[in-house]
Amino acid sequence: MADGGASSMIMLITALLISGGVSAVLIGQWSEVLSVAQLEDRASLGESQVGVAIAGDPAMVAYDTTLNTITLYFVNTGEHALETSPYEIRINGDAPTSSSASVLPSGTSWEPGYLLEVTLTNASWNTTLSDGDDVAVFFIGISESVNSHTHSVTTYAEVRLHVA
Amino acid sequence: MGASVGVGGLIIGVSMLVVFSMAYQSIAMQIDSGLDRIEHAEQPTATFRIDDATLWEGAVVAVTISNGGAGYTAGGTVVASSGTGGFSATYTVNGTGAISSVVITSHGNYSASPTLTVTGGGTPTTNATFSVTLGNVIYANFTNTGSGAVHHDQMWLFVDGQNATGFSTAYSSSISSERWYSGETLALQWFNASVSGTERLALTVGSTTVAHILG
Repeated sequence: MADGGASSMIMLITALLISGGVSAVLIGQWSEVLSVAQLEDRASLGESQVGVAIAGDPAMVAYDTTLNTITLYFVNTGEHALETSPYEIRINGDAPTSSSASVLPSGTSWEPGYLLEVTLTNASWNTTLSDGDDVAVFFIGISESVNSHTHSVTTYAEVRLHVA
Repeated sequence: MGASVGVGGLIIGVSMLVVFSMAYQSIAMQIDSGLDRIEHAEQPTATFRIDDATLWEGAVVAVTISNGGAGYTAGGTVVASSGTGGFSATYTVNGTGAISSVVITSHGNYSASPTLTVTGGGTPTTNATFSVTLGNVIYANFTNTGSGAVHHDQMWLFVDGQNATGFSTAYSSSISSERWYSGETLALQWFNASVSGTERLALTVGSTTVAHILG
């Protein structure tokens, strides 16, 4: 009887240990799965919190036929700062040969609500573009790190060139 | 027999605890995620209109007192005796009845500098004389037709698609509020020497831009 009680106790303790160990492993693994899911969820959330749009009068985009420059403004419509470099812009699919950018109202960090004034130059535009032309503008840039993730931002618009 | 039942019960009990624990973690994560999304829910897109926009290129933007005169009393008005531009101003007098300062109440619009005189200011012994500076002023009214308030720092003005200017630097208000509430109309008087000959005024708020021809 005493032997039977001891063996039962041993089985009970063994079962308890095995169950506890398995439980700990299962819960630990599940926690890791959830952590990864949460990380991905936050990344996805961060992506929805960054954005950019073209700013200013789309019917009067400054085009300087002497300098062959087009000046565009982009506004940070998200909740996080964007990088001022690198970025890519295409005018009717063509890349400018050079570009310069500055943040308005001031500073170097492109904060939410701030503008990025971009001046694009391409000598070939004086043969392909003229006052009053509608052109397609495509912009792609990147955000600063949001929850350890960097997101791309894009905008597309058709605008009319205006020679002052 | 009793031990086996006990062990079985223990295993089932532990298994249920594990399941409850996993379910709890899952639900907690989903609640966190949901709260994050609610907290960071997108603001409604700004919608607004430009009710009117006018450029006056001959507005009186400054008045200099060349001679304050003497014998004036308070309560009169400084007006233009030449031209039909609609200028008016108030003034203050010092102890000798000389005009010591002028506050423009209506800038008017002139093709040439008008001559200013004082009316309703008593019987002066010496007439005051003034010189005026003409400049450009854009008058515009903006109405927020959306459901949300917009901070002035999020608003950008453009003339002919250029000269991006923060709204708060061009707009002055009698109150300290820097938010543009739903249904509110903001009256802009933008003194800007660089807008001569411009055609259009545009306002950008977030991803929304509205433009208006300058009358």
